[in-house]
Amino acid sequence: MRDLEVDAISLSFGGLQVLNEVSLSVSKGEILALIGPNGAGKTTVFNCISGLYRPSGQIRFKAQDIAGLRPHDVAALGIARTFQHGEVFARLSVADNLMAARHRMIRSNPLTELLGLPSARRQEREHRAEIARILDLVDLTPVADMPVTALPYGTQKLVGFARALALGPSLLLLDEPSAGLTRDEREDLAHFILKTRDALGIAMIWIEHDMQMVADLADRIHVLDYGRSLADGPPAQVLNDPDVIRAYLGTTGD
Amino acid sequence: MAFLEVKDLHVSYQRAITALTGVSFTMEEGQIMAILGANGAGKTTTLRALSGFIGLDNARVTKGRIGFDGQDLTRRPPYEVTRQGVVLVPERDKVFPNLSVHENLEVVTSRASGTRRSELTDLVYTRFPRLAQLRKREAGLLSGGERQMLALGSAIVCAPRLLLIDELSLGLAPVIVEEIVEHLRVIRQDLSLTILLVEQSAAVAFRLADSAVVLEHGEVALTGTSEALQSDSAVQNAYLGTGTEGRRSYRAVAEARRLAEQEGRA
Amino acid sequence: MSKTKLLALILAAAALLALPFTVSGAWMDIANQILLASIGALALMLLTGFAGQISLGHAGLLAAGAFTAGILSRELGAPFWVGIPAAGLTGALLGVIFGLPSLRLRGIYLAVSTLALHFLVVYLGGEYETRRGFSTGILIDPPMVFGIELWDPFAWYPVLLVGAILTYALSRNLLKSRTGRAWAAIHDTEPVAAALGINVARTKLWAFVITSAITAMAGALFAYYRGFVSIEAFSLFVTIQYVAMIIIGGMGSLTGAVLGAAFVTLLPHLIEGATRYLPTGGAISGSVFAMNYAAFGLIMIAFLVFEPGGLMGIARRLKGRG
Repeated sequence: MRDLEVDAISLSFGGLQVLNEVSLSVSKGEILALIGPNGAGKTTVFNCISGLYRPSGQIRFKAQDIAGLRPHDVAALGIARTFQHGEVFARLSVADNLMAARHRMIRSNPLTELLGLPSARRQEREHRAEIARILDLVDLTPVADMPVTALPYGTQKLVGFARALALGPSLLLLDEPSAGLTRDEREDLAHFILKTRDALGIAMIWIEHDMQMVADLADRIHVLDYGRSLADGPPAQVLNDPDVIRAYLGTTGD
Repeated sequence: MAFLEVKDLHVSYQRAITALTGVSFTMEEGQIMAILGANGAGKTTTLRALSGFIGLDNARVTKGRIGFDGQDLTRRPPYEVTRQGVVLVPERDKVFPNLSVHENLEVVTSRASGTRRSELTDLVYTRFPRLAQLRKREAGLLSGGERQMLALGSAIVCAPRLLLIDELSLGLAPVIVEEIVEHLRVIRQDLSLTILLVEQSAAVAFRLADSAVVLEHGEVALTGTSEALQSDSAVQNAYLGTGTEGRRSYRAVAEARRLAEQEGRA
Repeated sequence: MSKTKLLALILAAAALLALPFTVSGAWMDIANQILLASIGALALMLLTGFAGQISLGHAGLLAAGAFTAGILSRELGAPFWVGIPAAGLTGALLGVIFGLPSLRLRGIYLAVSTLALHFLVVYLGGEYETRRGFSTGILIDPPMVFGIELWDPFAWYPVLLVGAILTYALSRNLLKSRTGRAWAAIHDTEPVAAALGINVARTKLWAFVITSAITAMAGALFAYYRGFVSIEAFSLFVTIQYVAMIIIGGMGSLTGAVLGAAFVTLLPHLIEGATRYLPTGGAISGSVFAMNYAAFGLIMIAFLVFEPGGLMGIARRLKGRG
């Protein structure tokens, strides 16, 4: 049984077909790279899975059809995502960015919080302990109380990654986590991706332009081109596929 | 002296995303050149630095020089750059959505005036017959391809000598891209244009351009003719990740780090 | 807490406690007005400066609270301890209504929809006044609090001081917990907040409900303090003054709200004082009201252009330099 099955989803905006019968799936503990030229529809697939768009077709998560659910309900099922430009909450510290992602798990309400009742404080303490473990996993503990905007771009994107983990997901959608990162930061990221997968055993779909990273780290690659699924398989096979080479370079490479 | 000379260009952003750290290249008149590279490599930044638009992005040129046909264009505001004949077709916000197609062409301030200007407008309608049919249509209602044609048309009315195009093919269907590329070739002949374009799709870039520069992390990684680059294994690496010789493997690095961590804990 | 911060806190507390023993009745009244304005400004700061929701209904909410207290007191002889929570309930209810448009609208459109509700409240208040024949307003007897009749500014001061401090402290509690973080998240970007499991609609509604309840209670306090409620007191200019308080004080800062409230409340008095020292003082002293408007506009523009961080922004810069 696959964790997530995207089954022939299609979507158009004002006559422009952005997704055309895209199907893909991912299992527990698997890293699926989603690649394709800009404008191929990769982020659109994410937006469909996380409930921002409503495509036709089916999206099944643990056998439940989630197409059409609202974004916060999708998140509540355990699907977390990162965003291309990090999109961290600029008004919050690093730790509070992670705490914001634990929103649905924290059992307190505005009244108990307003009055600072012991029950609300206990919840706060418990979840702070939880996020401390995640901060430690990605080496962010030293900057936990810094305002997130004071950090370099690469670290902000890592906060976005940790924030997604704070949701306690069983499926993680990573939207170009390496874009804008230096080589060193990319190596850190590679380390954290593998470490997270092994520590938490979650499934990941990973949009990536750094093909070396993809070739090195992905278990499987799915290629999109102009909103269609072009290829799907292990890295060695997909990256040598003449169709894929043509889509990227316009030649067959020989 | 080269027609366009970019020398040791450094750009930094206020909220440091990607910056340029020493980009240099030259172009001769009449050339078509492509800037290639991964997301965040600095392609758009380069074009926006050339066109002066960078000031709108909370960024600035900190070092280096942009020379165009004997003029210094470094840190000049966009309207002055355009007046010199260096015209940008931006990636986003490329047309005025509430104006009609014709009004879009009329509203641009051009180096050309009088008959020359109306000749250029006529040329746009001749070369993009689709725009002639849609003269009265609001630009906001155009399809992606039509919008790109209009953006190119607006730029042409400015009487460009060097046309800067940020993402020609982005989000457009292959047939449309094919059509636009063909039109652009003809117009280039008409006006003996020099073109510098940023392209995510190496396939499109190599079809149109005679040469290319490949950017990586804000620096020039490679330059060469399209033929040479197309068969270059480094370009195939950059775009397909195949053949990782000469580079550390991410997986190997990650595994080494893991071992070190475990030992550190033990 | 750092030593300097603790020292500043002790000094501020001492000054607040010593104040009633050192000032005249007129200045005690001004201090009380600042405290009242602080409560209202804190509520608006929570809504706009933290949750990022724009409202031009602030005067309408103050009016709703004032009228709730006034009507209950006048018609049923309800005491202070009933009037204040009742005003809070009215505010909470209106908060739901004020908040509903925020689920669909933002920016200027949201502002206009809250403005419409302002006029609705003002209309209903005016209707009540004329139907009951209170065309000049409703009189309220001085309330009894812990056996003390609050009939002069000196008796009111401790009550309003406690009210303002409580509002500040509870707001701080809220901001440091789940709800406050959700407000920051939707203020930054709604789709990202939603993708992380935050119910954006519910979060916005709570923001309107909580802040409207506080605002209405501030309105009720204002009514008790004045001993008189009239719809005249809740013009659109009042809303603009509160918006000015949070802008001048510094968006996204509770202390800023209090500083802004003090600044805007003191401004007309400062202008009046200044005109006395001008050679032409006699000639323009009659137009103090107009001058207040003009100075007010200029100061708002100056802050928006030169110091968007408000008084708190200036304070932070001075601190950074020191």
